[in-house]
Amino acid sequence: MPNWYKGNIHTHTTKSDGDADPEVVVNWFMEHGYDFLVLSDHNHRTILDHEVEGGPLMIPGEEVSARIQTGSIPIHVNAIGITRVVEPFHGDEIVETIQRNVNAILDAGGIASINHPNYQWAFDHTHLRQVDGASLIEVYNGSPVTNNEGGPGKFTAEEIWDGVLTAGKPIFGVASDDSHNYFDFAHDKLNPGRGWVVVEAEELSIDAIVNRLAEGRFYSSTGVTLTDLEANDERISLSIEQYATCLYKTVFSGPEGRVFAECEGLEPAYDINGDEEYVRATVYSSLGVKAWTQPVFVSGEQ
Amino acid sequence: MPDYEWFKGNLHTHTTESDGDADPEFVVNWFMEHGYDFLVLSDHNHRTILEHEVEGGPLMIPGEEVSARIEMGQIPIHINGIGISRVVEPIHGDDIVGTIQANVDAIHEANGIAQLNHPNFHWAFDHTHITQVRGAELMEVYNGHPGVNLYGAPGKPSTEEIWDGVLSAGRVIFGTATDDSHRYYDYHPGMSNPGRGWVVVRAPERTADAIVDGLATGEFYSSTGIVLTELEQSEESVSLEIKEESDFIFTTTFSGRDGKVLAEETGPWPSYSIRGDEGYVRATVRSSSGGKAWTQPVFVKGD
Repeated sequence: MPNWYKGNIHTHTTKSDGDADPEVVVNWFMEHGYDFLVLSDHNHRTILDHEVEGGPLMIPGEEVSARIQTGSIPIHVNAIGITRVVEPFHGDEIVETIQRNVNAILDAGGIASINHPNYQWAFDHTHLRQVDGASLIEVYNGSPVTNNEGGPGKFTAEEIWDGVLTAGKPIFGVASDDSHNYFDFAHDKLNPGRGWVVVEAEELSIDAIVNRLAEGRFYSSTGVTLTDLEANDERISLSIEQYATCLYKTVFSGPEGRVFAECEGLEPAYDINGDEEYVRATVYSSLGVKAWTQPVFVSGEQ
Repeated sequence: MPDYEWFKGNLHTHTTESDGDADPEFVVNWFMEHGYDFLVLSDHNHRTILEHEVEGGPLMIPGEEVSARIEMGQIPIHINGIGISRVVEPIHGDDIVGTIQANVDAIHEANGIAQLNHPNFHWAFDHTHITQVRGAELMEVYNGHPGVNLYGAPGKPSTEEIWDGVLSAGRVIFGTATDDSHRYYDYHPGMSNPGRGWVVVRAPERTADAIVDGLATGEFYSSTGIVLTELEQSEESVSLEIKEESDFIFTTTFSGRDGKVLAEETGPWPSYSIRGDEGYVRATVRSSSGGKAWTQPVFVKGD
């Protein structure tokens, strides 16, 4: 029987610009019930000197952090499950720079997660459609400076994700902390615990978690818990865990964010009719927190 | 020299004097270290007063969360008394409107102003009730506690819709953002931590009287992260100046009766010229990074 494992895949420590050393960081996630953790320092593969007893499974990672050489556009790509450090490639243009760093991550045995596209309004789906081999993209990043919500003339992180999917490129949406600050907690600090993924895997091992992430066998959350998730090319159904007096709305949507159905309650489901191209679910809670399931691509020949 | 200043404060704060997990001095220190000018400790049915002044700390305005329940059920009616001169005993009534009214009146008798807290907590009440209540000065449009259903759901209005519902009925009530903080040691989005919502009051001086007057007359804005450097409101126009931060993009929505959108503007200097038939006009600012600010409604007389 597969199990559900909760983890954060974007985490800084004093090994780059975080304000707590790796052991303090790991302890925070242990005390808050995480099953696995990716430390992702900038251009540094942070490995604990000593295992933290009872701590989360540690999956080696790095935030490969490049800049376009002619300017200040940041290209940050998370490497998850790498077997060695990845040196960033600083290119002259956006698509090439993303691609070269994704390739370097794959060469080092990891999978690639495209981080916060709207950070300094660096890039969007028009670029990502031209990149091959990236498994994941941040649809939510917990940092208060990454412009998740977009603005006039700009796209939200969710619209960028749909923009890539609409081009027929499977990429899975992750929620992550991008945490840097572990001592002072406030709305304008980069604190842990804001966004995470829950992976369905047969066991809690590096290979199992990384493989299931790459296959989209997970959901992303900022506070909604799912107790069941069934997705195939005929039907998507979810079971939502009731929290306090919360009410839930689930939106099933597809290309360009087009809404196919909206459901209330704890057991939303959608029957795929075959011409959607892809279908994914977003769960909204009356508390303002959300969950995102991964897209199911529809063959179109039913 | 302007004849006023802006003062930042939190109006809804718990300590160990009710169900908070830190003692009052510890709580006051947190707000001092995070740059607050004033603070209302609002323990449940208890007027918490510091034994010793905290040096360099925020101005302390006496408060209480008057916490009643409808006698026949589990519906919580929580109303903050702000600036009260004595404790207010909660009145547990039989119906929602009567219970809210009785507690608002009790707060006024104790020389405070009344803030209706988290209407959607346990889905307790909404604008259909609040429009029947007289004299409440404030209501929470944002509350930082993670269990208060701010955003509504199908068939349930959001707190912002509730606010607009009250205003659309012609009742003047001002919208606040507050923390409702209980937890000061373990920080996590699922915990009721401080620092999530606040008000910034325009007042001639930092005294309890001046701040409470500013709140009662709507001389303030509410925020979850956006700073306004100017705010001019008259019967002719509403104009704002938003403090630029990082590379954030700000979108300001001017809205009126029934939440109708009157105009939307991008950039740090949004303004709106009042036509006269809007009923009321208020501004909501959203940042590309998720923070918000709410200005208070200007009521339009019309012809």
